[in-house]
Amino acid sequence: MIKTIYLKELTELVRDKKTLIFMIMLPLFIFPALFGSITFFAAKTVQKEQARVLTYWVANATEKNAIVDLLAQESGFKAYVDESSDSESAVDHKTDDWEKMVRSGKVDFVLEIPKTFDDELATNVQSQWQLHFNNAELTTSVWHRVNGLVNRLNKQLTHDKLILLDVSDAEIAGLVHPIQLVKVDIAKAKESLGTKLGGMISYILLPLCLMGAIYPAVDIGAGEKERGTLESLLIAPVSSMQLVLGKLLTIVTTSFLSAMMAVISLALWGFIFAQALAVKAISDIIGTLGLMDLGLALLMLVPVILFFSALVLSISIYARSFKEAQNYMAPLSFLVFAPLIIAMLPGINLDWQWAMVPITNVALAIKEILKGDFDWLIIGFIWCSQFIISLFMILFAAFWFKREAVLFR
Amino acid sequence: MIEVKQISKRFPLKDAKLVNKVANDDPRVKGRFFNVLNNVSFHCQQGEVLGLLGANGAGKTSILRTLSTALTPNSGHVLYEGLDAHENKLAIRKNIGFLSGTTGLYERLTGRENLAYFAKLYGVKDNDFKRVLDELTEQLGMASFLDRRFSDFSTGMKQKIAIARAVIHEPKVIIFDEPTTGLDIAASEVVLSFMTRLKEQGTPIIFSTHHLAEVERLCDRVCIIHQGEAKFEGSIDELNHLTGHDILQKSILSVMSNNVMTNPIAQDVPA
Repeated sequence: MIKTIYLKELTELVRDKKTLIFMIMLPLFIFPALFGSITFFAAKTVQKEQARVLTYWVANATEKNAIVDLLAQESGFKAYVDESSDSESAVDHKTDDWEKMVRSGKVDFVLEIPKTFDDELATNVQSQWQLHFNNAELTTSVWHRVNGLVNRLNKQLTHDKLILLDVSDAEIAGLVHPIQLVKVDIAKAKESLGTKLGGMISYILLPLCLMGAIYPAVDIGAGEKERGTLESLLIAPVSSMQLVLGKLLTIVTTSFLSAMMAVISLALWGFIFAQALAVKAISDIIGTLGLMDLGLALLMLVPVILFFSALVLSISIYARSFKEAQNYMAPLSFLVFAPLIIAMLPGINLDWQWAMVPITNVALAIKEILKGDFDWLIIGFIWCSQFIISLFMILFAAFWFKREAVLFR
Repeated sequence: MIEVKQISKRFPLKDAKLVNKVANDDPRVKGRFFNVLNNVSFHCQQGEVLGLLGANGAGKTSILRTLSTALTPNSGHVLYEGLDAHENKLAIRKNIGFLSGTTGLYERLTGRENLAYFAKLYGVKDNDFKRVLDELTEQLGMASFLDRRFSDFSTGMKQKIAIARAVIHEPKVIIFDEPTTGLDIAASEVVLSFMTRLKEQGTPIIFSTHHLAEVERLCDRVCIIHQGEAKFEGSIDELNHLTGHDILQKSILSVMSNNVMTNPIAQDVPA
């Protein structure tokens, strides 16, 4: 009987254009196309800004100032030539003029060097230069690019001065940076990848599981009520538990498929855009983490999917209509994201205290499993406790399906 | 035989506006509850057609839903051959063919798939399903649209499939709620002829309708429901004799307006 209900619900969902759009077209084509386009345009914009020729004006620079030569030699920088005025000094001395030049777009930046710079340099006094630019547009690369040049100049000047003082190249390194910290990471590749991927998998897959459950739940709960098909089902010789399990399995299937569809989509598009790279990345991930651990991580999702499915089915059958059900479902995503964010916070590690917090415990468990260093007892406890909670939710859904006050609202 | 013994059903009135709106007019509102059925009793013998008559909102659909086991009464009993329907729901449901005005079918399935689905839910074997489907296809004239999606059907086609759904498991009792509402003359005739055939086969039928011509054509007896109570149960002749009218419509209105208590079962059964 459960199989009959399950197969019929699946057939109906497959024939629904909305299901095809939400469950296949969106994760497989539309979302990747959308995110791909956004990423492409963002990357292009940053690239364009980095390659853009910046027009500049250096105020108060003497001929022997090395920054003038450095800017002139560097590609991507172009000195401003004031064709309307024959007096350069008119621009040189007024801060207001520099700001106007930047605002009007005549120059991208004005580098103001103190007139006393040569003296400061000679007497080993630190000189303060001011970079006037418009930072309202966060994409601007002026600061980054000019700062890079000034750092190079700083190094050169320091080097020249120390050479004059008869300091050798080897001593210069020890003098300028007496201590150099060398990173020695003892984390295994699996630990490192597991931590990063573990957090990501929970954060991506759990909300997707919920989203994948919501639409079919609304359709086979509130949708049945709205279309008047529920009554035919309620008078059939089928127990409420059979009815709930048949519908629940449909939601579980779509929820799981929806999450898997997202994973397949990522792999597919990765393969299309960076064929060899994607294959290598996937084989690296599987090689490092191991299929067993990946399978175990997915197994942790099972009780959560069961819980989500029973929850959304209960909400859906309570609602009078499709629209009402969708309104009830909206706040659910917050309930899922909050514990997931907690699990992603630095310093939050799986212990018995966190093992008691639903959803957060599963996210942390997935992270631990993928890291490869986990306590079977705590993982087993989380799976069983989440499964028991899911069973209670399923029993509640079956009880809900018996209540006239719910079914005939 | 179907026996309905003093069933009562009440729903909580959660909407305060509704409470205020109906409290003064409707005697069925008691505090925060709406007594949709109050000690309703009647019976239907084997091979008999019983018509449930009454104004809109009288409680006819609630009675039929209670008979179908979709609703459970707060008190009273529905007995099928002496077996309490609400204590043996799953067993009783296999023997009931229920069709209500709001019963829908699955729009993304074809007519045949809809019927096959319900046949499976009712435990009909494949061979029996094929046989019954062939018979119903011929009797209801469904051959031309049986394999089309339900969403493409006209109202008449939908009602024919809905009726076929209600009887695909060859039920022993038929309960129809306004089966011809919204149908044209031709479709109505198909439904009425089908009900006549069921009657001739000895299947007891309880159905509600507002079409008095259907009542005169099909019903052996009628039960008049008014404000959640059974006001009369008997044959049309008995009704006309009791009220002194020879027109059914006038007789029904007379019972409803005079609040004549003429239900023998209700009087016989101890409280």
